[in-house]
Amino acid sequence: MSRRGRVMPPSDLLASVSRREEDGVSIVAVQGEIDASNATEIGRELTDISNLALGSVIDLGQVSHIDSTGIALLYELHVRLERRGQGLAVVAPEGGAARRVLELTAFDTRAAVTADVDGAVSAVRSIAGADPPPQPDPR
Amino acid sequence: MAAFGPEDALLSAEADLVEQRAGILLVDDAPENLTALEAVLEPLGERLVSAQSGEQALRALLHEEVAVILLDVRMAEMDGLETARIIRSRPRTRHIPIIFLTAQASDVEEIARAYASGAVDYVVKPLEPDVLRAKVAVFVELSRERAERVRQSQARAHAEAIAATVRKLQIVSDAALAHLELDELLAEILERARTLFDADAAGVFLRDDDDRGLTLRASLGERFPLADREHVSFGEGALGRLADERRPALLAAVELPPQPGAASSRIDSFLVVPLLGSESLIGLLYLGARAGRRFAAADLELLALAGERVAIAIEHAKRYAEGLELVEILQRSLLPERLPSHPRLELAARYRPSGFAAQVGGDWYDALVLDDRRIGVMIGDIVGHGIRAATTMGELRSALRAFAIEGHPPGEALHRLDRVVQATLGRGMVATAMFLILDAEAGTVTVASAGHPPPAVVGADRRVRFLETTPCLPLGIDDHAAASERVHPLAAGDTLLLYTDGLVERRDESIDAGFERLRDALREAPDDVEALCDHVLDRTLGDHPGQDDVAVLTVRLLAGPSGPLALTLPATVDSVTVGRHQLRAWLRVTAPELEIALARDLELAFSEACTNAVRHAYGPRDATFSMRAELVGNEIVLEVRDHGSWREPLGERGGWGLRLIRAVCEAVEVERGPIGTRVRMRQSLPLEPAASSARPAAGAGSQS
Repeated sequence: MSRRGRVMPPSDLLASVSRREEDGVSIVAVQGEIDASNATEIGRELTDISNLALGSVIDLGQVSHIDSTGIALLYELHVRLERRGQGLAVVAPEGGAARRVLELTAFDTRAAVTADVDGAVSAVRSIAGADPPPQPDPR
Repeated sequence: MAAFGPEDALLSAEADLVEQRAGILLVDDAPENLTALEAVLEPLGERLVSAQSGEQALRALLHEEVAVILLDVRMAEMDGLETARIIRSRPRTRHIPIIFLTAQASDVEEIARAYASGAVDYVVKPLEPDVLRAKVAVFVELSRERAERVRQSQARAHAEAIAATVRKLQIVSDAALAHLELDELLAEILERARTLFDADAAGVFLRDDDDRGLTLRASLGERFPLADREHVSFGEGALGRLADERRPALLAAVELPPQPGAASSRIDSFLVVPLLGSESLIGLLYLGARAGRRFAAADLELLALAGERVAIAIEHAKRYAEGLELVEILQRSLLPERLPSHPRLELAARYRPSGFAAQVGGDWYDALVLDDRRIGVMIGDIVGHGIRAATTMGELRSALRAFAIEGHPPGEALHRLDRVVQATLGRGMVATAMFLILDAEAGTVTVASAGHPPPAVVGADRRVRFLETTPCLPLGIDDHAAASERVHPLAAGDTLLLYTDGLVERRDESIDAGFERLRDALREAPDDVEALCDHVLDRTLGDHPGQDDVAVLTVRLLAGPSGPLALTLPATVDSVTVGRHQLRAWLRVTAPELEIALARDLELAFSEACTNAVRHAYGPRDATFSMRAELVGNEIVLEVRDHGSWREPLGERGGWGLRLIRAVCEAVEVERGPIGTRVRMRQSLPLEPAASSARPAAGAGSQS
């Protein structure tokens, strides 16, 4: 039985975050696993969005585990962006780890959840009023 | 391509038409005096230049090199003293000795006053032919000596400049021998050559492997205009013929053939030198200069010299590359091609050569399955480097493997190995070795070590310990008794790390610091054994890629197929990850056919339960919680137990933990007791791999 403080890989080994911008939309891609051990750091990355951006796309396509701590981050982010008039869309392909949890927590009924980044970018642009609403996803 | 042959274009070194006779300038405004002087000096056999006035004399000096001047003092226009003053004021003529001719004794005093310098003499008329001739001869001789001195010092300076240039090129090629790969070497050499020779283009053609021609391998500046392609066949075209003849050539102006997309430019002058290897021509080195600059014959000589060094450097670089490849092949052939696989064990290994490339080391490792419950793992280190160390390593590895297969326990096997070292490898060969047998069923590891650093074990809880071994001398030191064995328990989830001393030893510090660094690295290592090896190497070697080569081998004991997974972890958020990863590894072994979606659901439920336990575990700071996973019949039972009490938060954004658990598991029980909370989750495994009806539908647990 351990009584030591730090007992696991540092969070940076658990997940990595990369960001870029496309058509005025900030795209934050997370790779790896999101849980209570790295939620604070991930949350900081997710909320780091320019005021000038139309909104944010959170790409969870490469996430192999996300639990309620991660979903709570998304809910917070959603509320925050809504208040700032910015859009939010989450990329979570069918069959992926993230899609299942987003559906179980009904996040997909609250915010746009798309299968790919392009769809998410147009969703954010239309939420922010930059584009007309996109055609319904045939999938 | 320009129509010309190298023979026509070769510039012969310009003949150095140095006037062998010394010039003597005679200045007198009376023609009859000039005639008399010429008559007196004719026998000296030198070149006589006459002037009838000071102005004429000054004009003559503008283009004549003279050794001595005979100057009449009394002249109509500009007198001798004034003429001499002007001659002495010009830098080009300042040093020329002057002999004044005068008929007046008073002039002598004036001359002495005005020119108290040794380069000035006087002759009082009437002239004494022998005396005058002798004086002039002395000055001519002095002038010759002076010219010779200047020529010699110029020659020395030139020689020194060439030596300096060669030295610079030498520095380039010498530095290159140690570090540069061929292409880097060529780029470096071309850049240096272009600078030294002030060239506008430079390049190297190298001989093709099929020996049919040369191909441009590296170039700077203008593309090589002597060939329209980057390939040249032997004997064809100017370059092909030069390659055949293997001699340096200075080529004249060539109109560049028009290059698509590039402005046509004029290369006025080319140097091409052969690069001669120890056996044959290995290539050509060329330099080109444009717009008025012309290379000289001396440049060609220098470049030819440089070419000799460049050729050596290129051969070295090629041999170095081949050597590296050889070392790699050797290393690969001596280390096991793949590690054995065992359902209960995960193995990974790395070999990292020393920072001095091409220096093959003597570190080795090996692993083999002994029977269905035991595997043997071995690691060793031969003192020394080089091919001999590497091949010895190969012998020891084979020998120890044979002893292991014969069924000798670790201590006995090492004892036999020591006899091999002493009997066949001779004195002076020292090696350390360690042999461990892991028994997956019994959960034990038996270890014997001959002077090898102790293995480390990192537990599922990330605690790191070093396994004690009985102290024993390295192999080959002396007659020594069988190394005694120690048996240590090994729990499911424990990861054993074997390594060679390069991992923990640094020249400038104690080995304890190295052990501490390894301990820290292991504590924070990733779960995956492959990633763990890389992590440990990166963290411990860091910026000190070393003096020594390093081998590491990790073995993780996985939970048995029927055995439960039971862990007690500190109540920190990091334990959520550890617990989940342990469950993942346990599921892989216990239910290898499990559908990925179902495995993810179980991990999710488990992660939620662990998160709640950590969040709600009240008590002292070093509180813990326990987790357990078990296969009961066809059902997986997960349990997380803490010492706090769960309060289910209200509202949409809290309390997802339990809701998610309920959504993904068939059955969930939460028991809140006085000493803590226990959550038990059950999930039956599908009887057929494809059946997933047991999985609840999406959204079942949400309230919306």
